[in-house]
Formats: sequence, structure tokens, C-alpha cells
Amino acid sequence: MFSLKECSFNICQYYRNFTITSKLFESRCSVLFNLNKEVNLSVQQLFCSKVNSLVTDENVKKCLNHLMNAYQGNNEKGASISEILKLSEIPPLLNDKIKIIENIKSLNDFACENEEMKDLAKEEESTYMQQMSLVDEKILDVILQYGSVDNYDNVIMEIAPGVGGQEAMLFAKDLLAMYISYFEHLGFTYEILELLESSGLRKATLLITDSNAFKKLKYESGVHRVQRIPATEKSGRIHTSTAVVSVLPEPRDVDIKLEEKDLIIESKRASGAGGQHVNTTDSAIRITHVPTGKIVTCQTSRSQIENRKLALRKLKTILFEEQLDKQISFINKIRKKQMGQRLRNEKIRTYNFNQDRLTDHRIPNGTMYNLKEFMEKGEALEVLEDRLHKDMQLKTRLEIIEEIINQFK
Amino acid sequence: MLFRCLSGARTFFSVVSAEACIQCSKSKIITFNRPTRSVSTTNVQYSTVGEIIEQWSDRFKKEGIPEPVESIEHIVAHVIGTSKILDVANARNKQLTSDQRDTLDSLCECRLSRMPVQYIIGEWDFRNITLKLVPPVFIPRPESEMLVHYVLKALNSSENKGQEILEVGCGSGAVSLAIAHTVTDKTVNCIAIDSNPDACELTKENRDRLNLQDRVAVVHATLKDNGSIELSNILSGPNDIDFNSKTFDLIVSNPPYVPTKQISTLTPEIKIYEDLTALDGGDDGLKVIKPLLKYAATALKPGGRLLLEVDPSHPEYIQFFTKKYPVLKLQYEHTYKDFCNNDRFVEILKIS
Ligand SMILES: C[S@@+](CC[C@H](N)C(=O)[O-])C[C@H]1O[C@@H](n2cnc3c(N)ncnc32)[C@H](O)[C@@H]1O
Repeated sequence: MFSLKECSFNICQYYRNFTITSKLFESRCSVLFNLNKEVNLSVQQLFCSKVNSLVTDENVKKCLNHLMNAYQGNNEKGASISEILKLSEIPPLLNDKIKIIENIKSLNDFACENEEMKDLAKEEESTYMQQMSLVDEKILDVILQYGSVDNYDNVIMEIAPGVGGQEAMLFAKDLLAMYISYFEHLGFTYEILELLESSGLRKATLLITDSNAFKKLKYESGVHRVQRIPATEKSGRIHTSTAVVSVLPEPRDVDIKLEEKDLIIESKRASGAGGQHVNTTDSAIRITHVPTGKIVTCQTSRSQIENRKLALRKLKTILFEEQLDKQISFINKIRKKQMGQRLRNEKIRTYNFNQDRLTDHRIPNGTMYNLKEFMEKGEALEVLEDRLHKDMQLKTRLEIIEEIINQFK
Repeated sequence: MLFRCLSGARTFFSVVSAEACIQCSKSKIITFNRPTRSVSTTNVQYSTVGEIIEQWSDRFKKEGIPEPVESIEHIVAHVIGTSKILDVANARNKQLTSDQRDTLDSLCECRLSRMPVQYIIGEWDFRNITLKLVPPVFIPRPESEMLVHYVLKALNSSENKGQEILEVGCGSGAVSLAIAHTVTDKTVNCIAIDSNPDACELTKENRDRLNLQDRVAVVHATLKDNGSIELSNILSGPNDIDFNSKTFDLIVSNPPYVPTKQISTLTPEIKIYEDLTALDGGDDGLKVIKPLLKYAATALKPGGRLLLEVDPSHPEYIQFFTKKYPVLKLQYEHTYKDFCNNDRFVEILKIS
């Protein structure tokens, strides 16, 4: 009787302990939680059977144990581990985890002493285990969310023909029209920064302004393949050609700083006297970034100085991407994965005109019919994009976990 | 008043077009009519925007019109209601209504008589504002967007919360309106003067469109050779301003600066359609700049600045002038280059 009392007292204490810590913890991270409700869900999906084939519960647990050991100073830390431990949300979560483990341990000690209490202790243990997996999920979530870039305000999109000559240029043009109706469908504001045409599209650069733009576009990056009989083809033979789309978030000013001395800014008016002596409509601007040799042009606006502004933004985006490519830190790898940056030459989708269908190669059942509507209306593309977003997010997360596990090998 | 100005502009419009035709040689007038008819009769119902662009740009090329492709693209953009020629690319397969097509053809004929595109479509962008433009009021040049840039920089570096600004020769209002439109963290009080009443009216109209009535006052007045500013008796506006006692934190001007002997070398777009007194700066191009320096010497507050757009041959003289007359207490500060690497803008500081 006496020991039973003691035991229940003990459990109460444990409980109180836990509710206090978890409350504290929630207030600390509440911002994160509110923002990422949807994300939490998908992390939970990590533990469901479907994904177990790729990363087992065991693997994730192992990875988290490694992390905890590193935190407690029990084993030597790799650079990427210290990067994770530096994230401010991580140490409190690990403290919670340590506490739960201690509690389980003392519960076990106690259960050994008293045969009768074994069943009760087992029940208690399973509660602790549940709490532990909750904390584990939160830890994972923090790691996975790090470097998440879904909240960029602006996106720069580039469309260019790939292989297939004239037909590729015509297809690139079709893609441009497709994206423009997509933006109109979504109500995004966009500006064409650059448009090079000659019997088709040689290159188009667009600036899309909307806080949702990156989310709704990032999975468009990659090689788009078209199979059809080109309008120019007399013999009726089906051609395969490609166009390349790249989608980049615009860096914030803190991410990239440009030095005035590194820039050569030119206008086409450069010849002749300029000023009051000349009146043309030409407002195009060309900027050369001397250290990298990168050249950007802009002819969007009737105002030259507005074109200069837009060209600078484009340049910053390009330099930002390059900078990301160069940094090989672990966190940066995560960031890049979150940005949906995969192999630039990955074939992501095929548009088959003869069969009136398109297939996205990244998802199961990625085939959709009624190609004409898909390319003209924008609704179907949004459906596909949302599916991609869900699916790819999960995939990305699995990849990141694998990455973490590799770090411990 | 406004109506009178508009109809005045319209009469001018037809006068200049006619003038331009008279200037064309006889043979030109013949070729001028024939292809127009063939363009509009055979294809009026069927041609797409893309085809229209091709036909008219070919026509412009044949007639030696500068910027043939851009010209038609801007005209098409105007007709289909956009300000961006890149939007035209997406409309290439669309067809115009017959009304649109008629408007387009008559606007293109104005271009054949070398009317500047900005006058044809009646507007242009200057920094982040759109200005209505009517001949013969001077069409703002992109260089002056940088003049505004340096004005904004000077205003930014000043600690005074309230800024009294004078612009001499406001034309369409581009400079003053861009300043007033952009500066929001300071109270700017801008007075814009011009000797040309048409320019004053246009500046007022553009000001009202941008809702800047409380920040920009427009005054019909002339800077005289002796460095004083004389109010013209007519026109409404604040008549209580005494330019010979008022002082300013900043004076900005894009005065006429083309030396007279170079006027004949300018393109017909400028010579026929723009008011030449807006750019003819006399023998040395300094006709207005010299009085400006004198006026600034008396009207700038100590620490105030004068910012000028000039011909690349002028900064040297201005530097010499400020050194030669130390009593004016004008200190040459800096010459800035434009995008074409020409010395284009001069900054002068009034010292105490
Ligand atoms: C080159 S335009 C500049 C117009 C406008 N600020 C711009 O940048 O587009 C010069 C203007 O100065 C005006 N102007 C010429 N001489 C003047 C004078 N002595 N006093 C006042 N205005 C004058 C002309 O009428 C013309 O509108």
C-alpha cells in the first residue's frame, strides 16, 4: 500500500514535470508551430509505413541519439552537427529529450524493485515513449525547416529553348504563354524583364511578385520535353525537343550586396551626344558585373532608371544562386533541397501533343489529359503544382534525413 | 483654360503634321500614300498584331524612320492599352478591332512624318511616374532621371525636415513631380517655373493627375539674363511669391544647353516637333546656365545646393566661373557622369 502511494506520487511528479517543460517549450516555439502546421503533418507522415522503406524509424532514432550524444559532449562533433546544435530551438528540445530518457530510466529502476508494479510501469513507459516521439518530431522539424525559403516575396523565372532548334524555340514560346495564363489564373503580378525572340523564343526572363510565387512555381524548374509534329515539319514526323525553365527566389538585400565599382552600366544610347541632343524611345539597360563577368539586360520599362533597377535585381538573383552553389555546408545543402534545386538537366515533364497528355515524371500517376486546356487555363497546372508540392516536400524531407544519417557514418 | 490649352495643342498637332508633309519631297508623298492603302485594304480584317507589326516596321524601314520596330511596337501597345512593349509579344496572335486598326494606322502616319513616339501615344514614363506629353513641350530624356537621382541623394543627406525646392524650366514637370512623388520622409515644397505657358499648363495637368497639388506649385515665370526671375502677368497660381527675396534649400534645372550651331544637326523628331527654346542654349549653350548661377548665388540658403544637367563641355566652365567669382560663395562640388559616360550633372554648394 505504502509503495503504491509512493508510486502514484512519483508519477504525478513526472507528469507535472513534463507538462511544465512542454508548455515552456511550446511558448518558445509557438511561432514555428503556427507557421508550420502543415509541415508537422508531413513529418508525421515520415513515420508511417509508406516511407519506412526509405528511412526506418530506427534510422531516425539513431540519428537523433547521435545528435543528443553530441550535445552532451559524449562524442566528437562533425561540422554539420555543430551547425545543427547552433540552431537556437535545438538545445531546449534536446534537454526535454534527456529529461524524458532519465524519467524512463528511473521508472525502470523502480519497476525492478517491485514485481507488482511492473505492469503499471510499462504503461507509464509507453506514455513517455509517446512524448519522446513528439519531441523527436519537433527536433526533426526544426532541422528540416531550417533554410526553408517558401516565404520569398519575388521570383525570377527564366525560359529558354533546349535541344531541338526552331521547334524548341516555338515550344519555349508556348511555355511562356502557359506561365502567363498561370500567373493570371493565380492573380500574380508579373513583369517580363527580358524577351529575346526570333521565330520563336530565345530567352525570356520574368519577375513575379507575390509571397506565394515561389511555392507555386519552384517545381517548374527543370527540362520540359515536348513531343509533337512541328508546325514547320512537312513530312508529319514527330519531333522531340526541350525547353529549360529555371525558377529562382529573389535574394533579400542582406543576402547579396553589390559594389558600385564592380558594375558597368550601359545604355544603347551610348553612341553620340545624348541628353537634349537625342530623343529615342530606347530605354534598355545592360549591366556587366566585372568580378564574375555576368551580364544582364533589361528593356521592360519605358523608364531607363526603372530598367536599371530591374536589371540589378536580376543580377543579384544570379549572383545569389551562384553563391549558394559554392557554399557546400550542410545547412546550405538543406537549403538548396528546400529550394527545389535539383539537377538542372533533370527531365521533369513531357508534353505529348499527339496523345493530348502530359506526364510529370517526378510523381506516381503524373499523367494528365487535355493538354490544350492545361497550357491555356492555368487551373490544371495549379492542381499539378500542388500535388508536386506535397509529394516533393515529403521526398525532400526523406532526402534530408538520409543526408543527416550520412553525416554520422 | 485647360480646354483652351488642349485644343491649342490639337491645332498645333495638325499644323506640325502638315508642316512635316510639306517638308517631304514630292516623290515621298506618293510612296507615302500607296503602301498605306495596300496595308489597310487587303489585310484589315485578317491581320494579327504580329503581322501588323511586321508590315508597319517594314514600311518604317523603307521610309528611313528611326527605330522602326520599336515605333510600331509602342503604337500597338498604346492601341491595345498597355504601356509595355513586351506585353505586345503576347498579343501577337490577337486581332485588332476595326476601330483600333483605324487609330493605329493614323498614328503610324504621324510617325511617318517623324513625330516622336512619345507625342504620338501622348505619354511616357519618367522614373516611376507616367507623364502626359503634348507637343511642343520638351520630352524628358532618360539622363534627367539621374538628375533626379542626385537631387534625391542631396535631399537625403540634408538634415532639414522641410525642403524648399525651385525648379527652373519644368517642361512637362518630370523633374519636380518625380521628386515630390518620391520623397515621403520630408516635407518638400516645390516651386516649378517655366517661361513657356504650355509647359506650365502641362506640368499642372501632370501634377493634378499625380495628386501632388499640395507639394508642387507651378508658376509662369522667366529667368532673365541678369539673374532675376520675372513673373509673367497672366495665369492663375500663387502670385504672392517674390522670387527676388525668397530662398531655397535646393535649386534644380535641366536648362536649354544645346549650342545654337548644333541645333541644325538634330533629328527632325526634335527640330520639327519640340519647342526649340527648350533646348537652344545660345552660342555656347550657357545662355540660361549663367543667369542660373547668378540667381542661385542670391537665392540659395547657406548649405543649399544647385543641381544642373548640362552639356559635357560645360562643367569645366562652371568650375572656372565659381572660382573666378568667390563673392558669389558658390562652391563647385562634383560632376557626375550619365550612363553613356558623359560629364552630365554638376553639383554646386552655397557656402556661408
Ligand atoms: C530642356 S527643357 C527641360 C524640361 C524638364 N525639366 C525636363 O527635364 O524634361 C528646358 C525648359 O526650360 C524652359 N526655359 C527655357 N528658358 C527659360 C528661362 N529663361 N526661364 C524659365 N524657363 C525657361 C523651357 O521652356 C523648357 O520647358
